[in-house]
Amino acid sequence: MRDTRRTRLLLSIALIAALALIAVDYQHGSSPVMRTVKHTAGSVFGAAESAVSFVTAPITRFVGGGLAGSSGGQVAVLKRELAKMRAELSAAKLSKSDYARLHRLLALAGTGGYRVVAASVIAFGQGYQQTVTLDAGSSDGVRPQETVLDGDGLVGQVTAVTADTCTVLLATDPSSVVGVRMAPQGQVGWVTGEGSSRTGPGELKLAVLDPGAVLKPGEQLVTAASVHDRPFVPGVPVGTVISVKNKAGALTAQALVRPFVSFASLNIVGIVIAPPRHNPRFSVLPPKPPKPAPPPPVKPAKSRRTAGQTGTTAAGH
Amino acid sequence: MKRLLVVVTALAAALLLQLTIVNGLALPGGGAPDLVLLCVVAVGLTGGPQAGLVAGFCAGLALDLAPPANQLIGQYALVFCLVGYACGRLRFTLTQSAVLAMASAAGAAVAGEILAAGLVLVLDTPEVTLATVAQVLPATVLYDLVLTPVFIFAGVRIAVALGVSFNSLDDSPALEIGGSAQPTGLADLVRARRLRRATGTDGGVASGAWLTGDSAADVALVGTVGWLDGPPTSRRARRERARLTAALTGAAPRKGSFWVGSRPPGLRPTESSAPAAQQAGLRKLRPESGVAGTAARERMPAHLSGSDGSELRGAAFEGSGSGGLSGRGWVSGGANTPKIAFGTGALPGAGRAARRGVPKIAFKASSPARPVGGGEVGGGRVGGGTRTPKIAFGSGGLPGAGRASGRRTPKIAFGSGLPKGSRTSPGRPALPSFRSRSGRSASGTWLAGSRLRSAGLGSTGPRGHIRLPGSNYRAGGTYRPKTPRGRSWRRRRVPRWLSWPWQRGVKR
Repeated sequence: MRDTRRTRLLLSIALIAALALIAVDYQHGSSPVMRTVKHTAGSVFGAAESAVSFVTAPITRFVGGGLAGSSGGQVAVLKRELAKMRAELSAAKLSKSDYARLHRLLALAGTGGYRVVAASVIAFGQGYQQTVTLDAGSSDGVRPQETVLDGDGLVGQVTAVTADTCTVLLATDPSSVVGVRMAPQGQVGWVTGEGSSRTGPGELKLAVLDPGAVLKPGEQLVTAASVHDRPFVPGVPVGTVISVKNKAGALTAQALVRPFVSFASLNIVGIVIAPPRHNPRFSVLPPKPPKPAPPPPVKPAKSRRTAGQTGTTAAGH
Repeated sequence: MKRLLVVVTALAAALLLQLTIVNGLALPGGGAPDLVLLCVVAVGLTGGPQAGLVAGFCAGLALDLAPPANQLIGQYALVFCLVGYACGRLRFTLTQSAVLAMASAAGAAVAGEILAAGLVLVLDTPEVTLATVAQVLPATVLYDLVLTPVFIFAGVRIAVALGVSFNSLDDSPALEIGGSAQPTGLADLVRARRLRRATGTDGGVASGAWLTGDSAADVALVGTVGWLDGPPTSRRARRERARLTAALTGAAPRKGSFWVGSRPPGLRPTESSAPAAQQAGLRKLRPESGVAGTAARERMPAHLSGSDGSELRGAAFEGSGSGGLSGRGWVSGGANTPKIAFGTGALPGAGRAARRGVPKIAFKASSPARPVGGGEVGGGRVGGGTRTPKIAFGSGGLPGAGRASGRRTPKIAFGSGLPKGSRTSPGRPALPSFRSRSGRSASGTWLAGSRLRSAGLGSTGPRGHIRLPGSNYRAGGTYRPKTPRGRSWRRRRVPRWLSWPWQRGVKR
C-alpha cells in the first residue's frame, strides 16, 4: 500500500517500458513484430468493441444520429441491393435514420460506380486523433488504403485492417492529406484536416497548387484519383469552399472547406473495395446551390443531393 | 484476487465505453471526458501507488492498442502510470478530508490530460498544433472535473465494500520505513526518530495522534464520507455513513481500537469506561489497529499521562509492550487498589498489577469491567509489574497474559493464559522460549495488532507464531516450551493449572 522501494522500482520499470515502447514504435512502427502486436490487439479489442457497440448502438444513435434527412425519391433498382446490404450489416436492426443513411450511401455509390462494402462505426479515436473503427474487416474484402465514404461524401481512408474490423483515418485528422479537384475548372490541390475544434470536427484546409487560382466560396471539391486508386478513388465529393484566405506571395491559394460529411454523427459508411471503371468526374457532386452564399451545413445539402442523384441515376439508366 | 478482478473489469468497461460511446458523442466544446483516466485516478486513490501504477500502465497500454488508436504505443501508458502513481501517493488525502481528496483527484486528472496533450504535441504528427490542443483541452478538462467526484465516490464505495483498509497510517509518508517487529539497534533508533519527527510529537515511539479514535469528535475532524448525498436523513443512512467514514478514516468502529504508543499530551480517552473490555481474551481483538514495529520495540520509554494527571513512564512498559497500550483500560497506576478485584482490567493481561497496587485476588480480570487496578496493559504483560495478584482467576487471554511478566507470578492462577488453556501463568521463568522469542511478538504485536499481518507476524513469521484469526489461534512451535518436559506435558494433556508446579521448578 505504501510507497516503498519496490513501488518506486516498479514505477521506473513502467516508465522505462513506456518510453521504450514509444521509441520502438516510433522507429520501427511498421516492422512485422509491431504489426503483429497491433494486429492481435486490434482483433481482441475490436471484437470487444463490436460486442459493446452492438449493445450500445441505440444509445449512440439516439444521441448522435438525429440528423438524417428525409429520403425523397427512391430508385427502385437500388432497393434490392439495399435490402441485401441491410442484411449484411452486423447491427441487423436498422433504425429509420440508418435506413436513410444507407440509402443515400447506395445512391452515391451507384452514381459514382463505386463498389462499396457497408459498415457501421463501432469506436471512435481517443484524444486528438480523428479515427474511427468500422465493423468490416479483411473477411469482408477490406484492405488498407481504401477510400471510405458515406452518403454525403468522403469520410477518410482505411489505415489498418483486422479480420473483422478496420481503422479509418478521417479526412479531418491533421495528418490526413487528400488530393482534390475544384469542381468547374478542375484545378488540382489538396485538403488537410484541422483536427477537432471547439465545435466538433472542424473544417478542412484547402491548398490549390496554382497560386493564381481564383477561389470563390461555394465552389465544390471532389477527390482526385490517387495512383492506382489508392487510397482515394476519384470523384468522391469532399466539401464546399466557405472562405478564401489568399496570402500574397504564397505558393498556393488557400481556402477553408466545409466537408459534406457530418463527422460528428458518423454512423453508416461504405468502404470502396473496387474503383469505378470511369472517372465520374464531378457527376457525384450535389448541384450547386442557387445562391453563392455558403450553404448551411448539412440538411439542405442532403435534400438537394437526393434530388440530384435521382436525376443522374435516371440518366445513367 | 477479487479486487484485481474488480479493477480489471472497471478499467475494461471504462475503455470500451470510452471508445464506443463517449468519444463519439459530439459534446459541446469539442472535447470528451476521459473515463479511463478517471478510472485510473480512482484506482490509484483507493488502492495506493502500486495499484495505481500498474493499473495506469495496463489501461494506458490498452488504450494505445485498441483499434482506432493511431498514436504511438506507450503514449498513454506513460501518462497513465504516472497519474496512477501520483494518485496512490495522494491516497492519504482520502482520510483527511473529502475536499482535499477531490482536489487531489481533480488535480491528477487535469495533470494527466495536460501531460497527454503535451505528449501528443511532441510525438504525434506536427499538424497537431498548440492551437488545436488549446481548443479542445479546456472542454476535456472541464468534463473530467465534473466526472471526478462521481468516480472517486464510486471508487471509495467499491473499495470499502471490498474491504480495503483506509488507514492513513498506510499512506503517511512518515511510515515509509516499513514496520518490522525486530529491533535492529541503531537502525531502529533512527526509525524512531523519523517517526517522532514526522508526527511532530516528542513523546513515545508512535504518537497517538496518528490514530483516529472512535469518538464522534475524531470523525468530525477528518470529514465524513457522505459528501455527495447530503446530510443523512435516516438512521440507516447515518449508520451507513458512520461505517463508511470509519472505514475511510481508519477509525475502526469497533471497540478494540487502541492507542499505540503514547497518548498526545492533553488528550484524554473519551470514554473512560472500557468498551474494549468486553473482549474477553483474544476473541475480539482485532489485529488491525496499531503500528507495526512500534509494539515490539524494546525498552523504549513511553510517557503516559494517566487519567488523573499523573505520569507513568518507563518501567511500566519496558520490554516489548510499549506499543500495546490500550486507550481504554488506562489506569493511573493508582495506589488505591482493591484487595479483591472482580473483573478488573480491560484487556487480556489485565488483572495484574500495573504499578504498585495489586489486588490480592483478581477474578476474571480480563472481563468487561471498569479499568480499575490493573487495567493498564502493556501488551499482555507488564514489564515493570513487580507485584501480581496472589490469586488470579481467569486473568488474561493472551499468551503470556495472566502471568506477571516481571519476576513474579500469581501464586495461584485459574483459567488464565491461552483461551485454549495451555497453562496457568507459569511465569516467564518457566517459559524460556516464550520469553526469548515469541514473547515479544505475542504480546506487543498482538495488542498493537494493526499491521500484524503486514508485518509478517501473522502466521508463519520467524517471530510471531500466532495463527489468526481470533480465538482459533494456537501458539506455534516457539510458543511451546522447548523442554522435553514441557512437550510431554502438552502431550499428556494434563489440565493446565496442574502443570504449574512442574513448570515452576524450571529456572532461568
